[in-house]
Formats: sequence, C-alpha cells, structure tokens
Amino acid sequence: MTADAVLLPNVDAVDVLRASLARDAVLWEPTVDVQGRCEWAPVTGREPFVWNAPRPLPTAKRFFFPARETLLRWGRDEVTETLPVVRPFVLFGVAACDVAAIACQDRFFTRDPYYRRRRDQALLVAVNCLAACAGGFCRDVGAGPFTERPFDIALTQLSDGRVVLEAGSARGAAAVDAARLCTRAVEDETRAAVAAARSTAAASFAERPFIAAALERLDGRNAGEPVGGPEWQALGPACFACTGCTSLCPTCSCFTIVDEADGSERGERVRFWDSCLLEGFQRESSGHHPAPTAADRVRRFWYHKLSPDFVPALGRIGCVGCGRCDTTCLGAIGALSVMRRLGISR
Amino acid sequence: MSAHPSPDPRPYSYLPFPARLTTVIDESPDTRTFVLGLEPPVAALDGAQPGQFVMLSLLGIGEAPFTMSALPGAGGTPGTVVLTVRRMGVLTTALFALTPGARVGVRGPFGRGFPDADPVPTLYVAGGCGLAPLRAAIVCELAQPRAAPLAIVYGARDPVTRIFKTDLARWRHTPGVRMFERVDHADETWDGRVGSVVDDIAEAVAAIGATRAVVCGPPAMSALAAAELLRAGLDAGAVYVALERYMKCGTGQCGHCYVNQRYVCTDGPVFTLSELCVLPETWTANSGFAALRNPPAGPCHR
Amino acid sequence: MLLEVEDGRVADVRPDGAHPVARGQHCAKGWSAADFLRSHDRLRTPLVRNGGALQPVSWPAALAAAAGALRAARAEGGADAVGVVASARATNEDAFAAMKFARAVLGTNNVDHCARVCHSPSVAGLTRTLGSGAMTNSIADIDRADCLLVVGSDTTENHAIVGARILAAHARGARLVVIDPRRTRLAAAADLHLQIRLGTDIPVIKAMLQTILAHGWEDAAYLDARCANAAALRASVRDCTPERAAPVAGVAAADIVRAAEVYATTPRAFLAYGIGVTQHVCGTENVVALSNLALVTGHVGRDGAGINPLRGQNNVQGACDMGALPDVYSGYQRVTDAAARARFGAAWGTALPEHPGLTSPAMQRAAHDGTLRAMVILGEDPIVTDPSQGFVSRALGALDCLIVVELFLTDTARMADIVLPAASFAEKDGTFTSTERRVQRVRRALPPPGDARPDWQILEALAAELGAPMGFTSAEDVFGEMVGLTPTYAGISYERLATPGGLQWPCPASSHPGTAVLHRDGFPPRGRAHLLPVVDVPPAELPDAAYPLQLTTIRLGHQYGSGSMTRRAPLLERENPLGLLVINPVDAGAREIATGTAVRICSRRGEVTTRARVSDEVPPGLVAMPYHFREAAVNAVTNHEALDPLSHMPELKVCAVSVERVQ
Repeated sequence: MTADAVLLPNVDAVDVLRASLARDAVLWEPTVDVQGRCEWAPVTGREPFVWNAPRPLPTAKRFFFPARETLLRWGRDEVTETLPVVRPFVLFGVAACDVAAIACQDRFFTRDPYYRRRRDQALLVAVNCLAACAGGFCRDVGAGPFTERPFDIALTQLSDGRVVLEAGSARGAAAVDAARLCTRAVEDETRAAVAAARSTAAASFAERPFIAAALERLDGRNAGEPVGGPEWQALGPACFACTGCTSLCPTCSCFTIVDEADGSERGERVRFWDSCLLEGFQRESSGHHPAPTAADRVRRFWYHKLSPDFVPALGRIGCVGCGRCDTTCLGAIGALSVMRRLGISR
Repeated sequence: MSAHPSPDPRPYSYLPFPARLTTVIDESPDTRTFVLGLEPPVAALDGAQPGQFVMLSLLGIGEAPFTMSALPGAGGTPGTVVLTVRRMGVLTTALFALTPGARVGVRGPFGRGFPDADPVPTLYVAGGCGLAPLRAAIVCELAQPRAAPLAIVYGARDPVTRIFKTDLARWRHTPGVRMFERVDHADETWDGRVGSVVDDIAEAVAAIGATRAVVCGPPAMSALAAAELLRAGLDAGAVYVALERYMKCGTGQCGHCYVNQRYVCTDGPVFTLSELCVLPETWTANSGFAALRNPPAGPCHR
Repeated sequence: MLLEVEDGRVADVRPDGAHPVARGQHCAKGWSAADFLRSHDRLRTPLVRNGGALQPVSWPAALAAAAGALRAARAEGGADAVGVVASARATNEDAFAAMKFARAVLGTNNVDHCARVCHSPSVAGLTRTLGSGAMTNSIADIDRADCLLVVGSDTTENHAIVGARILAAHARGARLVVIDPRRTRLAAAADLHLQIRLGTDIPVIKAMLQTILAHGWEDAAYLDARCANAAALRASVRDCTPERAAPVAGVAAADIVRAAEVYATTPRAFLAYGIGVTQHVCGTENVVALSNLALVTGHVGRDGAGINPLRGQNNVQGACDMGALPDVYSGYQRVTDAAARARFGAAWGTALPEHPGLTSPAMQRAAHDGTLRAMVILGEDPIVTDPSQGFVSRALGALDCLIVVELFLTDTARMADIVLPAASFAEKDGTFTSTERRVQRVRRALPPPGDARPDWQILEALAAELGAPMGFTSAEDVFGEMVGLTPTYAGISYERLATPGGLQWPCPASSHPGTAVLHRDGFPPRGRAHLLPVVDVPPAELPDAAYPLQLTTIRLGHQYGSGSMTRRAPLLERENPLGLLVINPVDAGAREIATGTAVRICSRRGEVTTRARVSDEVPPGLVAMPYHFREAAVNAVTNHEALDPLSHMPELKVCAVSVERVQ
C-alpha cells in the first residue's frame, strides 16, 4: 500500500465513486444473476456494489482483445484499417489475478493498435480478494489475492466495513477527485488492518506444495526436459482440443486471421482467438508439423503458462492462478490438475 | 535475440502496402517466381536484408509468409519484391492463378535475416525451394567488392524441380564460387551427382575452407545438414539455419510460430545452431534438430 | 450456452457455469458455435428455380410457388404423394409444426427426420422392452456409477461433455468397459476393451447374458418383480457361451466373462451406447439385446445406472418426442390408436390419416419410383448424410418439386426447386430437448439475417397459403398446443423453463419436478419390462474377394453432421483434412499406403477418393471414414439397401469395400 492511500469511512462512499464513474463512462462490474452465474455486465452504478462476487467465468481480456475483431475492411478501390472507436469504460471489481493478467497482455500487446485503442479507454478498479476463491491459487503464483499494478484504483474492504482506497495512476487519482469523496487519512491502525486482511486472505488458501514443485520442474533452465516425457505422453489423450482453456485463460493471446469475403469486391480481414491445443494451429501447408501429437501440444501449452522462460515477454509467468482452465477442461488437465500430477509424481 | 516487447515503439499495422504483380517466371512445374512492384515504393522494404520475409496478402484469401528471393535494395530493383513460391495450399494456389497486373498486398520486411555479408568463406546449403531465400543472400554476397570464396550445395528432388536454373548455370562459372549439385532421382537429362546434399557438405567445406554456413530446406534436410556441418568442424554459432513455421502476423503476436519462448517471425526465421540448441522444441524428431540435444562438437552452451 | 451480442453480431460464446450439465464446459463445437452465424453465404432470401437456376424472390412469391407445387403433387398422387422431413437441429416448436403441417395440412403421415439414421432402433427397441425410447437415466448418473459400459460410442468425440464425465468417473475409480470395433479414446483408457469384429454385438451380448445367468449374477428379485418373459430369454441364451462367441467376435472368451462379471456384479452400472449399436441391419435387435442385459442385472430404474442411448444432435430427442415420425404423434402416441388420432384430430379440427406414413428411406424409395411427388426437407442434407449418395440424388431428382428450408445452400438445397431461408438457433425462441430428456429454452439473441425465418413461421405461412392455417403466432403458442396434447410434457411451460437446465420429461403436471431417472416404479404402460429373445443377424454385406475390407462410418470431434455449420467455423474447418480413411498399418502396408497417400475406396454402390491416415485405432480388415466431408463423401459407398426391418435404419456402419492406392 502506497502513501497516497486514503480511507473511506464506510462502504457507501464506494457507491458514490461508482455513480461518479458511471457519469462519463460505461461501468462494468461482475454481477451475479439469480442462477448464481457471475458475468461482467454493464451497470448504472446506482445499484449496490456486490462485494465478494465469485470470479466471473469469462475474463476481462475480451474488453481489450475481443474474441473476434475486424482488422481491415475493403471495397473495390480501397483497403481501410478498422481501428475500434471505443467509449471510455470502467471495469469495477477486477480481482488481483485478472489485474496481473491484464499487466501481461499490456506488455505483450504494447504495439498492437487495436488492443491499445481499447485499453486506453479503460479505467481499472481492482478489489482485493479477502479470501481464496474456489479453485483459485493466485497466491501460489504471485498474482494475488491482493493486487499489484497496473490498476487505476484499488479497494480493500476491512472487516468493520471501512474501505481503503489506493490510486494507482494519475487517471485513477483524477477519477477519485472527481467523485468528491469524503476521505480520511490512513492511520497506522488502518495500515495494520490492511496488513491483517492481507495475511488473513493469504492464509485462507489451501496449502498446495505441489505447485512450487511443479514450477521448479517446468523451469527449462533446471531440467531442459524435451517434448515427450512420459508424463506428458499420459496427459496428451486427456486433451479434447476443445479450446476452452485458451478461450478462458486471461493471458492467452494467440489468434488467427481469416478473410471473410462473399466473392464480391467487399470483405473483411478478421482475427479470432486461436488455440495452440488444436492440431491445425501449427500444421504447415506442406503437412509438416512441429508439434504433431496431443502430448506435444499439451506440454507446450503448459510450458508457455508455467515456465519462467516467458517472464521477459510477460513480466511474470503466464499463469495467474485464476483456475478457469480447471473449470472448463473436459479432460481434467487444467493448471492445478497438471501441477498436481507433475509436482507430486516427482 | 530480442525479447518481447520490442523496444521499437511504433504500432504494428495489418494494412498491406499495395503492390501489383508485374512478372511471373516458371521455375519448375510447381514453383514460380513472382515479381511484385510496390505502388508506391516503400522505404522499409527497400532496406530489407537477405533472409527477411514479407507477408503476401491476397484480399479474400488471406496472408502467408514468403522469404524474398531477390531484394528490392541490395542487388535488386528498388520498389520491387521478388518471391519464389511453391504451390502448396489455398493461398499459393490462388497466387498461381493470378496474371500480371493483378493487385496484391505486401507487409514487411519481417524477421532477422542471414548474417551480414562479411568476407568470410561461406557455404550455402539449400534443398528444393530452400534455394529461394539463399539466392538473395548469394546475389548480395557476390555484389560485395571484397567477396570471399563461397560454395553452394544444392539438392533437388529431380532435374525438373530444380529452381533458378539460369542462376545455377551462371554460378557454376562465377570465379570464387564452387557449386555442388545433386538430385534425388536422376533422369536422362542429368549427368551430375545423385543423392543427398549432405554427402557434398564435407567436400564443400574443405574446398573453400568454409568457416560459416547458411542452410535452408525441408526440416529433415536442414537437420541432417546442420549435423554434418558440425561434424565438418564448423562452430555452432557460425551455422545459420532458416526455420519455417505457419504464421499469421509476422510481428510476434499471433503465436503460431513460437519455438519455446522464441518467435520464428521476429527472433528468426534465421537462427544459429547455438541459438537452437537451447530451444528444446527444435530437438524433437519432427522438428528435425534431434542431433542438437547432444551436440557433437562446437561450443553450444546453455 | 451464453452468447454475447455486440452491434448485431455475436461477440463471444461461453458455457454456462450455472448449467447442471455444462458446468462451465463446452466441446470444441460449442466454443465455435457462433462462427457460422455470420457467414457471408447464409441464405437471406427465398430462392425459386427459374430457367434452371435458383433466383431470389419475395416470400409471397416463394410461398405461392411452394403451395402450388404441393397442391399439384396432392392432386396428382393424393395426400401421400407428399412428404416432410423435419430437422433434429431445429426447435421442438419447429418439429411439432412440421408434424402438424404434414398431418393436418397436407393430410399425410409421411413425416420423418434424421433420427431414422441415428437412433430409430432405440425408439423401436426400447419402446418394446421398457415402454419408452430414451435415456432411462441422466448424464449426472455417470458421477454416481461404479461401472460404465460403453457400447458402440466414440463418446469423447461425439458427446464430449458426456465422454469427459465418463473419463472423470473412471479416474475416480469406476470400472470402464468398452465394446467397440475401434480403439477409441475411451477404449484406450478402459479397464477392459472388447474390440469386437464389426457387427458381432449380438453374439457378444448374448454370451455376456449366458455368463451372467450361468453364474447366478442376475438380479433374481428384480427379474421376478419387474420383468416379463425371463424364462424365454433364459432358454434363448442357454447355448450362447463365451467360447462360442469368442471366435465369431474375435475377442477372448475370458474377456467376455470379465465384462459380464464387472457389469453384472457392480451395484451401479451405467450402460451408454451410440450409433455403433443402432446403425446396423439388426439395429433394433442390438438395442433389445442391450436392454435384456440391463434388465437381467437390475440396472434399470436405479441411480447411477440405466440404459442410455446417447443422442447426437442437439434436438434429436426432441424431434422424436414431437412426433416428427411417421407412426406417432408427439409423446409417442400412435397414429394407429384411434383415441389418440381422435384427440389430435379434434384439436386440429380435421380428420387425420390412419396408416403410418413413410420413413425417410421409404420416402426416398417412393420418390425414386415416382409415387412420392413432392418433399419438404427442413435443415437436413441427405445428399451428404444418407446412405448411397447416388441413389439419394436420383430419388430427389425424380421429384416434381423439392422444397428445402435451410441456413445454407447445401448439396441438397442445390437440388431444390424452392429454397426457403431459415433462422438459426441463435435467432429464434423455442425449446430443445437434450439426450437426457432435458427440455430447455433457447432464446433469440439476434435477428435472423435478411428475410430468414424460424421453421415454424415458414410452415405456418405455407399452411395459410394452402388455406389451412395452423393458428400459431408465437413459439410459445406452438409449445402450448403441444403440451396440451402430450402427457409427458404436460407440466412444462416457458415460465417453468426459465431456470438453466429446464425440466426433464416425463413432467405430467405443473407441480411435477421432472424426472431424472425413469422406471423407478415400473414400466408404464404395461407395468413390467419385457425381455425379448434376440437372434444373431450378421451384417448384410460381408467382405469377399472383390471387396475384402469392412468399412465403418465415424464422426470427428470437431465436425457436426454434413458440416454445413461446423465447416464454416475457421478453427474447426482447419482442424481436419477434407476427408480421410483410417486404415490399419497391416492393410496399408499391403497396399503401399502411408499417411497422406491418396486412396480410392470402392463398393458395390460407388467409389470415393480421399487420403489415408494409417493408424492402429482400427484392426486389420476394418477401415473407417468420417461422413462430414462432401469432398470425400463416404455415403458414395455405404449400403442403402440393407435396412433394419423394424426401424428402417440403413446399415451405415457396415459395408464391404476395396481400397487401393491412387497412382
């Protein structure tokens, strides 16, 4: 927590902030419907904020890197770049794991104008998780439960209902100012309360020593294990190539580009989320395939998510511990399951 | 090798530079050279290096990467991109159906090409269409005022699938150039050697005292050639191999071409063997470089 | 499945985390389900053939042309000179409207749909033995089972969510036994795989029964209390020992005994089967044999057990339930039952035909022979999906008028005289009934493209044009009428279907919670389940010198049906080559075939060329081809002449072929 944190004496101030944000931007929040589904949905800011909402199954990545995006459009005489025109929007209630994932993608897509156009319009309001969520293991991969930058605003709810607000950027600070919140300085007692909440949250996670063991094993600098280790061979048939993990993974960034044309002179070049678990992902037109078996592809995917070799590109390992892949994997080889197998079997 | 993100702050663009197909040259029954005139010329492309590639764009069909067989700048015609293409898939089939005057698009240049044309004795090893990228490098090197001796080892499936037949004939008589050629299957027109290019490597290395080699060809051939070059005494850091991968963007984003944490499109397509030997995904039988797992010679440190 | 719509287009597809079956999961086809919606070649306007080519016309013009053609066909050949083929992909409302259109408007029972070529033997067989032709249990019962017996089903590819659940059950310790000629993903993971010869299910199942009865592993109390005809069954299998079945099926007798023991002696055993059981000339007998097995061991009517036909298409269960079949109205009420006929006739204000109509193969035969003059085909592509492509083309070509309601200009639509543009699942309201009898709402997420409309609206407009409007003004209207005539659905309403997961039929009253497990209390309407002796029926066409290999048809996990939807999804289309032949290394080696080699497959019906994939997932002597690819249509060679006598199921799973390398 930085020096510019302030204390909001009660939760109502958070609703004042939301209403203020909603005046100039579209406000999106994780909302829970009567069936218990949690989804990102636009809200007015006048309804009460849902603290401790379960993590939404869809990630926030589609706000910046949508599942389908038109890159170019052409007619008879010209080709035009179709950079998105995006209204300012606020993602209010982003969990630490998703903030960490956005940080990865910010870094990866630095030079992607489509991503930047969307990202530049977004204000991220993080809400620190006070307890582990079902299936989440952000603590063990250094992505939570309390958030790090690049949030614009981060909120921590204390057990007595008070809220500590931290501005993480100039835009965040300006948004707080504009809301004219009644704030108080953060005293030592409050700092202690935040620290306590943080350690309580961290302590709420199940102990999973296999995670560290698996990460150690997947560090190419230690083992240099090539494709085709017997454990990967066993995991291969479990992959249905359904594309669920890559669709829900908040750090997955692979895409394909497809021309959509109807034979007339008009058409669009569109990029779609792609999945490296698909056999067709790397198959070359000659038929040559650098990763011909499902085991090769499963190993490569988890290497990409869990190996420190990707820290230079992403700023951290690719997995943020959100657990979405474990939810959606048909073959029960999501991140936790894989690390359990690799970490325990050693 | 550059790590992501590149320090270059300029945003990527998917907008291709407009170009027009000016000439089509038949090289072999399934391979043609396409000369593309950029309208207008593009400075970035004029500065392209041998071994770099472009994304060729056919609206309504898509894009695919091709390494230039002649450069717009050094040794070629400014404003002109030359691609030598084997008909394989949907895009190349559509390209083969085009006639001069057709409008196409080009993005690039992309990637890291072959080493600078320093005057060191260099061996070029090519299989099949793999001669296309090397041709640009060879033409560049021959245009240098202080050219060192060079050798070319080329293998084709059979005499009719040899490409750049005019160049091959010319190089055979160019001073300072040693040519070694083989075909897998000879016919009555062929009076040269038969067999694998790998069998000529030791002789070619010795003939010019090669201290550097550049390899491009089908994955299996490249791997065998690389192993043979190491056996012939070349340093792993002086053997350059062009990798091929399926690609969609050319800018290190789409993910199709990654080899471990490296991207063939931005970190390659040309790698030294000492770079490849720390990338386990190239060690598999299918990626060819199984030999690198225990490199027989040369400083191949991790 | 949730669709997120932005600017009139589906921006994102995701699974429903709150749904009791999906639980946050999709198969590959689910994740790519929205891609075909925006395809540029969606049909947007009606087309009528004019001067040889299909030309865009207005709806009134198309409806007038269609009504005129149907009137003319009836005038020439009577009401039974027309036929309707409904769609197992469309909603219950569409299927109910199609069957009402055939019966009440056209006056014929000639109505059928593609269940004919997938699970018609399940309906025929299980209705005879249990009284009801659907999964007796629910998908969630897999979680409670201690043994899973999977017969003739490549479950992980065709029902990925179910297959995943079976693998998960196996991982937690349930025994997995697979009976299949191919080494499928489940077979490879199984505790026991009986890799039987193609078409030898009956001898193997009878040997299992014989073993069970000989060892006293049957559930005697259950047999006494709940089954009829046990003595006859016992007598019929007395000599069917595993030792006799083993050489016929090509498996070890000891493995048959093990399979029988595991299945019979495990308290909760879930039997699942697929079209590997049904698509045979003895499809109904195969189903009855499995039903005998499940009943003798008492595995019906209990948690974690049951006999469970896995239905392939999103609404093939519903289309059957709705009575898009030639012999039954909705809820399997027989057209030959005067009371049922009177009830439907009274509701529809018209006299209804008494005799069962033609099945779809019979319609094709009648069209071929000139007695059927006009057909309405909704959302099916029989040119690609039905056996013997040449025959189907000739049959449809012989019609005076073919009317096709479709999303795309499929091979069948290309042959049509009139093509009417349909709305997809995302563009209409209605209900689907899943394989586990789960009735669920589908809600319109975006408008149909151009002038496309839901099937039921098209049929309503056509009925009005024919002077006999059906009176439907909304999907809920159709559902309401159906519910009023269908006891198994009587308690279901759109209001009650608001929750994810909907309701499982039978749901006879508005206070009834639906039924997860059938036959807990008996086997209505007769009270007891019937055990029926089964005779061995070999495949109609066995290999010989000219056609030495057996060919079976398969499906790939990334494709669906004729591919009209999945092949327009870029990731799915990229995943597989455009057709392939799976061949064992032994057979491949003998013919100098390697993976990628072009091969020609010939049968007595025709030939097709594709590329080989050499794999030991098939044994020597067996080759397999997927049926999704029009470029390499396996139905050029399949056998349309061998039909299961009870269900008219063609023997799509077996024919004799020769395979040669194309030079």
